[in-house]
Amino acid sequence: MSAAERQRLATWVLTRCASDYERDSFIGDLIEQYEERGAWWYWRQALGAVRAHLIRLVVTAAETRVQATEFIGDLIMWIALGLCALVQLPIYADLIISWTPLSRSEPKIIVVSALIAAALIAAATTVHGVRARTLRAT
Amino acid sequence: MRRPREYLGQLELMVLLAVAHPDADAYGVQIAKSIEEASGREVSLASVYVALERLERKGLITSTLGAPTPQRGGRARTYFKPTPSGLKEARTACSTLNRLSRGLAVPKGTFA
Repeated sequence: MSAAERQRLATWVLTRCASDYERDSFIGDLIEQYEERGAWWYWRQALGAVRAHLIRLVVTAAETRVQATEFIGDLIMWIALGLCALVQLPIYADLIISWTPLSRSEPKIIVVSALIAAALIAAATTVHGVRARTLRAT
Repeated sequence: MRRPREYLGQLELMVLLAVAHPDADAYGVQIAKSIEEASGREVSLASVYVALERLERKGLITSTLGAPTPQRGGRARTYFKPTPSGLKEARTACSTLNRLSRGLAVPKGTFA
């Protein structure tokens, strides 16, 4: 991956995972300083912004005592977004972002999603187990 | 229930002072550089923006948008300036710190 691609990826992470507050100006500041400070600095600042936003989400959730379902929904989104950022899957990240408002308006969807995920894991484990037993038998 | 007035955090105060500096062209990078020069320590730009957001929410600073430039990927700078209550808060905090630190023993060589 080239330096320009790494910078674009960091900017992409920022546009999705950093605070809304003056986000464009913040990204502009980073771009302005990129030449002087380099890619490593750029990434550190981007991850710092994501971390600061995560901390604030947790603090706000604790202060305002938001519904647990809403908080868990956000947490799932953040973990999934982090994984998408790692493997560079913007399309899946967009899907996750569109899922978030839905989960907020309809908290039951979190329970349903968790059940579906559990069912998928159980199914995959069963299939794997059966396959392993069949292979051992043959 | 009314909440008691909050004290400014250390970084918030430093950011407010950097914004209030008359010679400062106060936007994110410039504020971070001012703090780095004064403290001798690197400061994260994200922390500066978190402090700016808190200060703006408390009504101690205001922001205005500049013109977008190609050097910034077409993004505009946001300039910050203190409100009258921001200036008052900065003066109060500084004089409180001065009073508290009066008579404080400073080890030799701390300020070379």
